Amino acid sequence: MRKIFTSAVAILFSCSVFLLHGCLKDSILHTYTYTFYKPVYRTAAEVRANIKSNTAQPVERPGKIFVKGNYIFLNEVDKGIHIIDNSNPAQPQNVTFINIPGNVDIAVKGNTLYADLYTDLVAIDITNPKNVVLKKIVEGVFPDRYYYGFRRDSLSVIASWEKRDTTVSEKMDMGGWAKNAEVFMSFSMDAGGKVASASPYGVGGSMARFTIVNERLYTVGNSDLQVFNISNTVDPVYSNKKNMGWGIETIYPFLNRLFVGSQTGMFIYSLCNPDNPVQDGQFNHVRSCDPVIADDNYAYVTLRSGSACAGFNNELDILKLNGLGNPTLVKVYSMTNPHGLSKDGNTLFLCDGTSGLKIYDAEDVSNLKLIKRIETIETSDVITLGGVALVVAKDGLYQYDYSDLNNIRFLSKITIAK
Amino acid sequence: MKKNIFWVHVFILFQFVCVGQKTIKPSFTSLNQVGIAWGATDDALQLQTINGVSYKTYSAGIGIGLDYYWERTVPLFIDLRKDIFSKKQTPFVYADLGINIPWVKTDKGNTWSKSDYDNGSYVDIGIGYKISINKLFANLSFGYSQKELHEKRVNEMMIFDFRYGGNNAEEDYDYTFRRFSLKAGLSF
Repeated sequence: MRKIFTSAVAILFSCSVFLLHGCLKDSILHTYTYTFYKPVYRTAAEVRANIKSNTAQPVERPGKIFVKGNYIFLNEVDKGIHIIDNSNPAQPQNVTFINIPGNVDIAVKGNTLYADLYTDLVAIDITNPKNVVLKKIVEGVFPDRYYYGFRRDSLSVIASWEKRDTTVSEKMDMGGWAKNAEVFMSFSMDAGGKVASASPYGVGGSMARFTIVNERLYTVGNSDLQVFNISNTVDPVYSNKKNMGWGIETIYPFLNRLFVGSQTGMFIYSLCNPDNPVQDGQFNHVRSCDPVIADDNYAYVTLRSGSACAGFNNELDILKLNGLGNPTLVKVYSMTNPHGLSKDGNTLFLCDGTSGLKIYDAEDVSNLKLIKRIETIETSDVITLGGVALVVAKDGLYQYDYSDLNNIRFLSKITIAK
Repeated sequence: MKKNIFWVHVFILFQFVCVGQKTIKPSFTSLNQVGIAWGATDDALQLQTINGVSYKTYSAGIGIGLDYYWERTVPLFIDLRKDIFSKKQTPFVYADLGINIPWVKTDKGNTWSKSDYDNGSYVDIGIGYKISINKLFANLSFGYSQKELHEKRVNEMMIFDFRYGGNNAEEDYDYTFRRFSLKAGLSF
C-alpha cells in the first residue's frame, strides 16, 4: 500500500513538473532610446540669403573634405561647410562657416565652390573665403537627395533638424528569441571622404561624389552620372545625365578618365567627349563599399564590410589598367576595415578603420611594404598634399608631415566636438 | 553529457576524501552538487559548492557555482536550509539568495554590436531529500530558480566614415530567467 502511495506521489509530482514547465517564461525588459529628428523649415529665400560666410562653428559631424590652396573646405553633414585656414598645417584655423542645408558633397574649381543643397546645386564664389558669395543655384538636379515625406511645400527648405530622444521600455516574452541574434538597425546615410589631385581644381578624397575634370563638373547619384558645364565657373549649366545602374558611390578622376566606384564593381569612363562619358572598362567585385584611386598603370580599390553597403570583405584590391581595356586583378591585400586612400608618388596611404593609417611603399604593387602604421586613430579618409597628409579620423581631422618617410610627424588636430 | 558525468565523478571523489561530522554541535558543512536548470528557452548544466555551518537541523552557508542557462554566469549566494527531521533520511527545504555574476562564455561582439554584461539577482528555493551514506549524505533537490542578467548592447553600425549614433545606438536588456532546478550532490 505504501509503495503504491509513494509511486502515485512520484507520478503526480513528475506530471505536475511537466505541466508547470509551461508556466515558466523567461522575459526581457528591453530599454532603448529612439532618436527622432524633427525638420525645421525655412523659406528658400531665407536659406539662400544665409549662404554666406558666417561665424565659425565647431566641427561635429564631418563629411566630405576638399583642399584648395591654403584652405580646407570641410563639409558638416547636412548643415554646410567649414572653411579652415591651413596656411600653417601645425595650427589650422577654423575661420568661417557657410550654411548650406542638406549639403554632403563639394568640389572646387578656381575660385568657385560647388555644393549640393538637398536637390539643388549651388555655385559659390570663394575668392575671399571670409566673404563668400552665392552665384547660382541649379534647381532639382539631385532628386536622390529629396527627403521623401518631409518636404512641406516647394517654397520651404529643411534648414536643420532638431534632435529629440525618447526612451522606451518594453517587456517581452523570450519565446522564439534567438540566442546570439544579430540586431536589426535603422540607419541614415551619412557621407564622408576625400582625395588628391592638382590645382586649380583642388583636392578631394577617394570617397567623393563630386569631381571636376577641366571644364566639367561630374557628380554621381545612387544610379547616375551627371555632367555640368562649368566653362564659366560661376554659371554651371546642366549638360548630360547617364544612368549607371544601382549602388554608385564614389567618383575619382585620373588623366582623361573617371573611375566610378559602386557597391558591385568599379567602372572606368573615358572622357574623350567630356559631355558624354563612355564606359571603357569594368571590374566586378563582391558587394561592398569601394573607394577608388588610380595612377598611370593601376587602380586601387578598397572593399570593406560593416557598412550600409553590406558585404563581408575587407581588402585592398590592386588592378592593372591595361590601357583602355578591362582591368585585371593583380593582388589582394587583406585589411581590417579599409576606407579611403590616397597616393603620392610611390607612397600609398590607406585608412584602415580601427587599425589606423597605413603608409606603404607601393613601388612594387605585388609586394607592398609597410613603411609606418599610425595605430592611435580610427581613420576614414586621407588626402595627400605633397608632404602633408590630411587624415579624417573618428575624433578629428589630423595632419601629418610625411616629407621624410622615415620620420612621419604629427602636425595638428582639429577635434570633433561631442 | 560526458562532461556532466565527469563532474559528477569529481564531486563524489571529493566527498569521500572529506571527513564527515554529525550536526550535534555547530560544525562545518559542505554541499557540492551538480544539476540541470530548465525553462522556456534553454536547459543547462549547473554546478554548485556550498560551505557553511550546520547546527541541529539548520544550516547556513555561502555558495558559489556555475550556471550555463542562456549565458554562463556565476551565482554567488547565501544558502539557508532546514532538515525536516533529525534522522539519517529526511526531507529538507532550502532557499538561496544572492547575485548572478556574468561570465559570458564567448565574445558575442560582431560587426554590428558589442555587449557588456552586469550583475543581476539570483534566487533558488526548493525541497529535497537526503540520505545518509556512510559519513556522507546524498542530496536530491528540486526547486524554482530565477537568475537575472543585465546586458548593455552598443550598436556600432559603420556608416561610411563614422560610427553613427542613430536609432537604438545603445540598448539595455534586463533578462529574467525562470527555471526549474534539479540538483544532486553529496554533503557532510
